Amino acid sequence: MKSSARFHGHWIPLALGLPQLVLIALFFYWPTLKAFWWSLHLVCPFGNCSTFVGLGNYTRELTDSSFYAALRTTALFAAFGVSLSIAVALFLAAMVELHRRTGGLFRYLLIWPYAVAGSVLGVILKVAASPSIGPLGYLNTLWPGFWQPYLNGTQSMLMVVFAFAWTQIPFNFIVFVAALRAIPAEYLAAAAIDGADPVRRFIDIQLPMLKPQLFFVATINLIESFTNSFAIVDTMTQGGPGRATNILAYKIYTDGFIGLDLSGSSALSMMLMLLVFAACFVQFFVFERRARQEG
Amino acid sequence: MKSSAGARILAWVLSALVAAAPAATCAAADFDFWYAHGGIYAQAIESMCANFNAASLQDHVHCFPQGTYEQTLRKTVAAYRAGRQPALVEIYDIGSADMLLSGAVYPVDTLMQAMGHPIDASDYLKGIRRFYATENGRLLSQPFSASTLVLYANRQKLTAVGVDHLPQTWEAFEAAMEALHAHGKSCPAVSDYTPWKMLEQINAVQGAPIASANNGHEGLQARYEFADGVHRRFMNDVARWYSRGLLVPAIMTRANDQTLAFADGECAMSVDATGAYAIVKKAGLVDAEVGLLPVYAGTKRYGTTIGGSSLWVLKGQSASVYPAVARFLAYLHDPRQQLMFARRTGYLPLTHEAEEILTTAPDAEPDAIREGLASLELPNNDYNAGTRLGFTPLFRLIWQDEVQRALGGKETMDTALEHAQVRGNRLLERFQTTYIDAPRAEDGP
Repeated sequence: MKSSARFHGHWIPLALGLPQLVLIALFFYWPTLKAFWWSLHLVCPFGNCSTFVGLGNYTRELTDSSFYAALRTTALFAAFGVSLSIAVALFLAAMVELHRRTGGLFRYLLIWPYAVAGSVLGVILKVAASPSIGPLGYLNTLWPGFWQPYLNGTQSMLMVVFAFAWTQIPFNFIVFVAALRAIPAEYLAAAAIDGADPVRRFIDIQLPMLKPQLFFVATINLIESFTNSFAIVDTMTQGGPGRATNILAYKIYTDGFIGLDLSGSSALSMMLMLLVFAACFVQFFVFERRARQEG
Repeated sequence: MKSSAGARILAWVLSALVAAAPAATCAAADFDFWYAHGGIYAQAIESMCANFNAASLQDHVHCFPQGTYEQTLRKTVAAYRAGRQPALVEIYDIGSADMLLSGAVYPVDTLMQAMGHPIDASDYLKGIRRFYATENGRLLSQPFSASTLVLYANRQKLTAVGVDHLPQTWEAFEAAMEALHAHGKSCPAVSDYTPWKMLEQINAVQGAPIASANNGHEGLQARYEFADGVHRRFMNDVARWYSRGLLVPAIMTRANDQTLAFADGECAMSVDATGAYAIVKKAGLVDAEVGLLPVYAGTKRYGTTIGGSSLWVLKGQSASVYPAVARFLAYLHDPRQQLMFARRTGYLPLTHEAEEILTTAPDAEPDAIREGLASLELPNNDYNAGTRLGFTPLFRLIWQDEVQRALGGKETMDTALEHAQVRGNRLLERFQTTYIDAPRAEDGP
């Protein structure tokens, strides 16, 4: 495609972009503005009163220990979730690349789970992890009382981290496979002639060349873990037990939608949005710099 | 030329968007009723709707299930803000504080008076009237589903371990659980560890306060004060029963649900709502004996409180709708409908008239309802009419958080309850600040 291809005039491109712009305005800009407005007020759910409190909602949340608890849980969830999804995807991609002939079949098989929605996956894993009827419940017949994800905070965190990684691995896998394929075979062949085994070749050649993709995938996964992890937590643990899996996205939901605390939950969503923006900016910044260096 | 093509596309997109908005036309006496039940409860409600529509020449009610209580309140808020609210909606008890202050409500007593179907608040059973009435005794919503807490026991299992009488006290309850446990029963009793059962009802039956200002009925200045006293004693007992495997969390049972875990015979005892009776009965697997909620030995027993929902009429409908809504409410108020609903669900009858028919009817009334009614009739003090506190749904989550942390060994039960109280009071302060200048509801459509 020629990069110089362009429409003339202003109307056609605007009209072509309009549906998308309307959608974004309706479902992103407008709600964001509204949430920002609410976050500066104490609002009644039915809209019959609203008192301007400036940054009052923010200072209240920032002095509330449950906010920091949610932040800590989010950080823990993101760190483990992102590293697990990257590590497993990387391992699978490297394995598939090792045997390019048989790899094709596995490539398809490993991409499929990407099509499963978070809440559906939550339900499936909830049954699988059920301490009384699920396959993991078998552990309880070996060691009674061992597997109790709904009572034990660590186990429930493990469960949602695993579920999150499950949703991310296929996407990461696709990116890694594509990136590995782009590495010239000569490099690997030359290293092999010098006596480097597959592990050494992976560490010294493939991994360094995957750096941009690793960074890209990590950012995407991080943002997903801030936002789209909601469905998993909602179906599997509802933030429990004892708020062990109460990540920020889920706290926003319970405060706003169950508690009808529109002000507090708006202030929290603005802060979550800042976190996501920060992650995006870091990524853009690093990519720009790399592009400049390479260009 | 180009720009006119662009304008055409723009016009087309806009007209498509306009056409996508659902048409809002309906006949004069049609109205929507949103309810918040599923399963056998929804079936009972749907048949009341169908019967009303069949019997009525001019009115038609469209009954829509909207999911759980939380979801229904949330959707009502969203619909009201968008100007597309139903005429009538079922809201759970703990949403009452929000509804009363919403300014969105056409008070039921005014409506019924204006439409020629006056309802005397004293028709309602005392426990139900006190729960929903405002400070000056008015009913701004119509009580609908009401349930209270009773003790269910599997007669066969209790007899097998030599417990011939239902436990009347928590001491006897513990002894029964121990006997069951000693005979190798894996689930002596089951609970879902929710605050409606473990805080609100326990304090009601012992006559102990949950919050100041008459549990919030006297105004927004109320603050929680449950962290010591009987609630602390009870929760420490609960923690002990939990750690010894006597009181099993519902989530650890095969059924994964308190009512079902008792109904399928897995667990021998369950402190549960009268509304659970329909499920126990329908499953038909256990010989269920029902009794009053236990109290501590040597303490005075007060009435339990109710839980459930009431029906709220929302403002903003066309004037022709309200007479039809009033006729539907009068129809639901009729003792025959109350009895049908009670028999099919285990919810309590609401008025004295319905109660009398039920208790004198030749066909035996459900045990749970008999015990539930008896429990409501017990002597009252200031603290058996439930709570009227803001942000209660959030407070319940906080209570569960803290109690789960205590049961998980992360903090002591005493600390957990103190934390819950402090966090709850922060919510109450904010609720008070939010509504302090809110305009009071006007008495009209």
